[in-house]
Amino acid sequence: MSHKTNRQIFAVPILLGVSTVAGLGAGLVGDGVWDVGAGLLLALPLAVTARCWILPPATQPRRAETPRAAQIARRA
Amino acid sequence: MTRGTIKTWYLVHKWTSLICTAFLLMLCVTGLPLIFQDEIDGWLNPPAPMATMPAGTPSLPLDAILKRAAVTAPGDIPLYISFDDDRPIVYVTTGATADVAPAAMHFLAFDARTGATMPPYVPGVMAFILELHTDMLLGFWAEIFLGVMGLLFFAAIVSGVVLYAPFMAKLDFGTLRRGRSKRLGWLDHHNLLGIVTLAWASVVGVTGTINTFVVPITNIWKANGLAAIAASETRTPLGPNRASVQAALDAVQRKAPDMEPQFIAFPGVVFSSKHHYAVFMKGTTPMTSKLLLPGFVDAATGRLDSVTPMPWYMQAMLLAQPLHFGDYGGLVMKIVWAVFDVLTIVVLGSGLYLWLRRKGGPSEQRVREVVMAGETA
Repeated sequence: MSHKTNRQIFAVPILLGVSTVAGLGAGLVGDGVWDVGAGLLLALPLAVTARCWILPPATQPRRAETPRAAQIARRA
Repeated sequence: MTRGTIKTWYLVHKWTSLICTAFLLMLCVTGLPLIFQDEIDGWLNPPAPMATMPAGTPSLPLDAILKRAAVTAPGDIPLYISFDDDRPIVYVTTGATADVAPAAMHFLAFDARTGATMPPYVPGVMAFILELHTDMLLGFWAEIFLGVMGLLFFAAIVSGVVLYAPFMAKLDFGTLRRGRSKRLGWLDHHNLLGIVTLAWASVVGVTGTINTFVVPITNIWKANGLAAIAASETRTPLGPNRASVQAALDAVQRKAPDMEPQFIAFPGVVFSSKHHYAVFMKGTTPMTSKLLLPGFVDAATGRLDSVTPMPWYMQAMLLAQPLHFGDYGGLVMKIVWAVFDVLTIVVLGSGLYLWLRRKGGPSEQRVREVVMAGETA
């Protein structure tokens, strides 16, 4: 049973949060290209969510503590 | 994190969520169509056609527009003049007195170039939904109440993030365990959707709360900055003969040549003093168009008294508006806003489900669920 550190737990959430806030800010700065950038930055968390949602269940370990090496070994 | 700490944060999450969830669901549901307010209004109530005139046709002086307004609404005094964002239309708001209730005001619209009367703005279904969203049709204190619900929502988000850490201690980001119990499935969705909507929901929640304090914040500004401008010297009493409004606008425009007029508040109304035309200028980018610059012109003498940026708290309040409504980044941003809104509804709904379908037992049971990532069976 390996506990993740806070850094590991929050790495992706912080990245997505920064992307969201940057998108909100970029939209305020200007129109045109700024709006496109804002849309892309804001869509990143949504894209990541969609990726998790439609990921086939088989590739997700039933128990997350299954060592990664063991999975790779099994697949090989 | 000790079990005691987790239990405290669990109780904060539970109670802040339980109190605000019903209101937040109402806000998310009414907020969804409001994102597309302009599109829906334009579709339900297409803008009236305007006379085609060569580009660059000059506008009539505002004083001429006011004369037309006096004919259309006899006995009224002008309270506000505002300018359409896209078309050469001048809106004039009139009322019997300067302190008349908004419901008793008259809203007139004129072609800025010809002075021809345009169909006035008629509040439609979207205005009704906006009122529901703002104060549930119950007035000022209901609006403040919803602001407090927004703060509880933010507290629920913060406590949810704290609980996310022990819950995810052994799970990879984005884990959605399938083919297990229904409760475990919703627990995973609640955690994933909660953490990806975190920043958006925090910004929209906090700016929404700020928006509910518009009236008290504006009153603070009036009591400080505005009162100082009005009291700076003795005033010629305001008689029936007023200085030219067009000249007032021109005087302020000369001080802010890169800006456009947003609206003009007449003496005695909420956004002005008793003696001034308050000319509010706006910038031309999405951000600066919200940061208004007011210029105050003595309505008796026509002298420009001051062009002073608003204090920080007024600027913060004005900036909170676009960040709440998501109406500043084009259609893509509106669609993103709608998706985040729907995901937030799922977070609220799944949270409610998880509480309703909780297994019996004391809250230690929930703490166990958090630290075992739901694997309590």
